[in-house]
Amino acid sequence: MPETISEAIPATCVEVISQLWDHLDNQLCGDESDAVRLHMDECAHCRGLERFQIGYRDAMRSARTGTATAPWHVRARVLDSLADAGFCP
Amino acid sequence: MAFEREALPWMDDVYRFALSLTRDESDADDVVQDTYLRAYRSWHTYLPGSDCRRWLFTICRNVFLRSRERARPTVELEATDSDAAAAGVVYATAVREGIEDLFSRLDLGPAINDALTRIPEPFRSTLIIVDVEDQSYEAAAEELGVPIGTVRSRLFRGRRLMQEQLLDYAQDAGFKVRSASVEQRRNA
Repeated sequence: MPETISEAIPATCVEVISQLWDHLDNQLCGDESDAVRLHMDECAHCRGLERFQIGYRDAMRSARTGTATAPWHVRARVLDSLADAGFCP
Repeated sequence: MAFEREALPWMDDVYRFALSLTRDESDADDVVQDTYLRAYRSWHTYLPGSDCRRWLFTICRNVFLRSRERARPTVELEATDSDAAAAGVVYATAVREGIEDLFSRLDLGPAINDALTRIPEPFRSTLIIVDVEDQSYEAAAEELGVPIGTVRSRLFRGRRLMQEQLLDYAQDAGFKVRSASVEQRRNA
């Protein structure tokens, strides 16, 4: 990997890149987000990075355990241990 | 009884969250059992009408962390804002290696599960809550008991660590070779 950030990223892009996740996570105010979008319109490097980060986010969401439900044996274990602790449904 | 009415219906959600944290069904079973036992014993601290699911998730995460501490020490690292910009270095490396499209061209499910087990706390829990479970910074801050700024900085560091691991996985899987051969076919 490059030794420093400036070796890998154009200097004009560093500030936008430092705000990119905040932009994607809707943590920026309107003006800040507009500034990021304007830069994206003009900068292929940052658009590529944005696609890369969105791809990462989508891949992470696909790792979600989805619709898994607690198996019957887990429910039984929970209810048994609660009963031992004095729980009466 | 209020506990039965308010806490037990969330068992599927708690199980999924435990599974996200542990990435192991047997460990998740233990975490869910311990979560409900602790919740029952602490029921007097639950504020009626508040978000019971989130209250259970907080207990669940604490149970998980205690189990991890017993298994192996956690690594505490402080992330800095420079991590946000440094994340661009991972992308630059991917471009140089010709694998900038790895997220759309590889099935990373197994690699993500494996990489998550290698991410040290507290970054791992933060990634799971925000990136995997798709919850807000505010929800993560409440569940983790930290300010939103801390969630943000942990995400910067955690995401960079994850992407470095996934990049290594793609390189080990020979993805670069496949990309290069595709490029050669295009140029032929």
